[in-house]
Amino acid sequence: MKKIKILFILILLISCTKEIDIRIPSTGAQFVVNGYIENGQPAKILITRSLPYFDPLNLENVVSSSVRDAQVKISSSNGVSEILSQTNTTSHPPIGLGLSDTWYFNYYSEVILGEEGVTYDLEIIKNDTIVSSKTTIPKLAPISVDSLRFLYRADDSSYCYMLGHLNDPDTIGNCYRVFSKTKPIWGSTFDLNNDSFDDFYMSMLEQDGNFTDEYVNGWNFSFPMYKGRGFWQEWGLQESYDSEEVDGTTAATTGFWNVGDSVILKWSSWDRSSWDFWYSLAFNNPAGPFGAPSDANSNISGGLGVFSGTSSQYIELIAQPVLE
Amino acid sequence: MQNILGFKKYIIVALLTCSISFSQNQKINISGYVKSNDSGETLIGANVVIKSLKIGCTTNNYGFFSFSLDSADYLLETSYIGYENQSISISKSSNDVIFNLKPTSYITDEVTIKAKKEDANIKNADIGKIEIDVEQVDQIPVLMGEKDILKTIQLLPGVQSGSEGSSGFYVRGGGPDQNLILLDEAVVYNASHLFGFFSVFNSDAINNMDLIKGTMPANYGGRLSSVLDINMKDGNNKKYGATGGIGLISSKLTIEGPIKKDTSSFIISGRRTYFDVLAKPFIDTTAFSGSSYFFYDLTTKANYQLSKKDKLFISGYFGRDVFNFNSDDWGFKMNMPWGNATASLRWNHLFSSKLFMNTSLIFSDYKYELNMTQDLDSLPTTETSLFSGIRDWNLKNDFSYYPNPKHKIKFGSNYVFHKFNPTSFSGSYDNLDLEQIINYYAHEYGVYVNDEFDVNDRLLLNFGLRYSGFTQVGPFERQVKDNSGQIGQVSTDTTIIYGKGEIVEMYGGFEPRFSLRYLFNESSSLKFGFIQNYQYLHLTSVASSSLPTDVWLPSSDVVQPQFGRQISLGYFKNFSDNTYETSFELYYKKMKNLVEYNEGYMPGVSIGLDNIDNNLTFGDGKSYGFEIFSAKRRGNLNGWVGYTYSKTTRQFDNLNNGNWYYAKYDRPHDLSVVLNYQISDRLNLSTVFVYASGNSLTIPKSMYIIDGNLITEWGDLNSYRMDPYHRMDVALTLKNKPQKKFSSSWTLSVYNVYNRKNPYFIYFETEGLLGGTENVEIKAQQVSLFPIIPSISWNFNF
Repeated sequence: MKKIKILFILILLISCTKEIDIRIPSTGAQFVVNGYIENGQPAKILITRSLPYFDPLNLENVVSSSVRDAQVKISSSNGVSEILSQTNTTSHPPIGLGLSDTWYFNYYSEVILGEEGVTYDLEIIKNDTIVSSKTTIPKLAPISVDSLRFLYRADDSSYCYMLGHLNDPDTIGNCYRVFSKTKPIWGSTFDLNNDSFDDFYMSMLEQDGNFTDEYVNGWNFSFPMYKGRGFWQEWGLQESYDSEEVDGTTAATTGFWNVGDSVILKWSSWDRSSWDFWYSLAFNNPAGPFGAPSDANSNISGGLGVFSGTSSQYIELIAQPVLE
Repeated sequence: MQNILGFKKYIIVALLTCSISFSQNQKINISGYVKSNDSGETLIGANVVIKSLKIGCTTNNYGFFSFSLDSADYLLETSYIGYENQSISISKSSNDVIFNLKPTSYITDEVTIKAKKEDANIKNADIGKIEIDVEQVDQIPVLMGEKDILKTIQLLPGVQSGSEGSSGFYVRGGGPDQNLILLDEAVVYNASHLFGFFSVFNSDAINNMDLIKGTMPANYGGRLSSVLDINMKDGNNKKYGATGGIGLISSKLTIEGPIKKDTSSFIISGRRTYFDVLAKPFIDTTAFSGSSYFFYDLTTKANYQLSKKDKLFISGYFGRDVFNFNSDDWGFKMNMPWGNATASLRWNHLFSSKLFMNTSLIFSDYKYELNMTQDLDSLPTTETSLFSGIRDWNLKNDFSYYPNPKHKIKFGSNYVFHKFNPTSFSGSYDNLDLEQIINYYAHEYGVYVNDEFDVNDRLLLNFGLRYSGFTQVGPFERQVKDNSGQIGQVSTDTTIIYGKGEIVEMYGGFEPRFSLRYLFNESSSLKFGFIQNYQYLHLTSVASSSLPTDVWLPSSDVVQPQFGRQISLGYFKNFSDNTYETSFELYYKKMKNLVEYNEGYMPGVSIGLDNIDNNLTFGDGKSYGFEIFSAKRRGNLNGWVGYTYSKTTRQFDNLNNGNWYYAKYDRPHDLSVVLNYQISDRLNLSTVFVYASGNSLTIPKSMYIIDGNLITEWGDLNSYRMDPYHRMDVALTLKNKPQKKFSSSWTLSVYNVYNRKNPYFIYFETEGLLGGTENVEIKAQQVSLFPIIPSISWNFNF
């Protein structure tokens, strides 16, 4: 994708751009599912409605677009099924939504906990609308914890990035998503919990943290991991913009940790059909003539979004490179 | 099938009866060549007539003509625009009548739609065929002063341009892969430089070209929509000469001359852009030092007259675009070369005055590469390389047989061995190497016969039949995929392995061609055409514009050949002794097995080995419309107006919920006006105006949020139409006073005179951050590419 971006930049250099009005016929909102079931954790599902394309948007709209009083049912391949409970301001103050690792939820299981190798059917009924999906929690292909270490950024020793080592299992088709959550030494910019950590995990910078073993099945290899960018963050927010230091495609310090940050690495194996959704987001809204717009590869029938089955490991680290 | 077989029988019967009935009287056979006296260059499409008999013919692509007549004395006359007429008396058989035509002395740089025979548009049976002489390309104002034959073609009715500045073209609702582009008979797979802004053809080395958008004769095959047959210049076999030009972005030079006077000649022509050189000092001061872009191409041809009956031609083309991108900060280097190479060796042999043969051995190659390396201090070096390409070896044998003046029979055969490399990958990282190369191999073949039959003074029939076939052969591995996706485990269920030469799949079919002309009187005629054809190669693109990364794929065990049928009807009328030429053509075209990527196809993602054609989906296409064309061909003020109304739609079961949708290059209205005014002997003004309905495009339907990401739900395919495209260009050419041996001219041209901001594409930009204090807003941004661009170029000739 990198080259496409470069071409795009070149075109913008010689072209001129103007804002135009496009009228989009209103076709009614659809149900949007943003659901997780993770190994050892309850199911966490957010159900919302899709929004008019050009309407201004903020977090309150997101909260207010949530779908209440739907019947949400999960049935597992072990024969357990459960109608999920709904969040409210009592169970989940202050806004009445729960926080998952990466976003909010408004329905959750109280009995079912995710298990590796188990398949989960999701069914949502609200008035005449039925939305369904299915996901399987894969077996975790772990990263070797001992291998994790930090390296200084080449030109600036106040920043660092991570190096890891993976022994990819012999079976082809392992899908990974990699996240981190940070307690920055300068303080978090999104911390409603007041635990000094950012509230949400962010996916790694490269390919939004989405990888498969398509080309590297069964390999043992080391690779770098760069901190991602949270949805609440500008590119390079941690530092004043300095064009001399920038490569031009990403700005400033995006992708690096401050030396001394506390970091939780979340390393997840993902089921293929939901991984496809996350990976497809990169192609969703291409800015230019070099891509064709494509809808996200949803695994939801009757609606939009994704129901993800995942198995993860969480590793706490301090971003402190060791000189060898 | 019943119909086709019946049709075939009819042809065979017709051919037999004709050749029998005309072989009885005492005959004389006359054949020869028409050439330029100045350069020895053969004149293609020159008119050779015997006025007393009211018969005539035009020279073929090698300048050859032939008659078979009852024994008598004749005056053979020839004419060619820009040359003086000549006549020769003939009373007995001769197979080396040579006309050496002198160029007319006055300036005749007319922009004309030059069907060389002045009333050819009325009289021949070709429907939807246009011949273009390269001189007329020279007059048309162009982007950045780069003359471009493909952009001239876009100004003709029935031919549409892709997007702003693009040299890609779409004929009567067909895709860009449905045009057969031939350079001295070699297929050119990617005809554009610089992401489509310039064509790969250097007009200085081109003699002429034919565009057939309707019923192509049976000697052409393999593409559904059109043939663009480009002939290179042979080179001057009398004296040495050079022409060249210095323009804003490129310079070019052509040298030609005799190898042995009157017997053999050569031409070599090169072109290179230099904005990389100009921009280098600026780029080297940035973190992108070493980044550059340039293209060059080299065209060369030589011919040798072995004997009166044999002539050899060797021609070649080599062109490359090279794009380099370096970023010091990330230790990132990218190198992206792509381009075509073609070579053709041709042998003309005259068996007799009645039988002319051309045998060609042709090589054609298109290659695209993307090499990337990343080398950061503390990390292992990553090297990756993506490449794709296609390579052909082609043997062609064409015969022209002239049994009598009423019949012109062509027959021949064609065999191509294709090697496709749709997309391959190799890379290394930290001493680990990986590679994935999947090639496809195929044989493509065709045999044909075509007869043009002058039934009587009014009726001319042209019927042909081609049988084409395609065989995909091993070595090949087909990955048969399941769709489970569960637990990410298995996705490759089965691999079917084919050994070397083993047949994977075979396709074939008859391609009847038929056209007729009915002459109402000397200045008006009605024409009808029907064509059915197959296309075995497919160009697949993930982007909405044409890119060098577009991939050529063969028909295979999962991809069927494209199939098309077209009927067209035309009325042609000329006025004032052929000064004004008008035509009205109607067409209807249906296509099957068109190819697109599946919805949700993600480039570069598959589990394990995969065949790229596993990701394709297939559908139908339909196009209909009418074309109005009107030209003034002579006088100080000349030019043409072309207007097309058309509708082009597609239907794929797996796209757009199976509903019909507009093709992305559907343009209901398309108007071109080309005017040329010879102000004085030395000063010429020309202008182009184009108007076209906007391109269709897919726009969003709604928006939703997942994990803080704003995600677009897209609406119906191509349901929105951008603003119309219109533009005017002007060029002024001043010829310097010719010196003894040296002449030169200045061309000042202005592209987009009134600085229209034409939509190039629209993108949707998000402003603000979720969780920030301001609202997030999405805005539609329309990008326009070329504003008003003046340019100047200097061309010379000695």
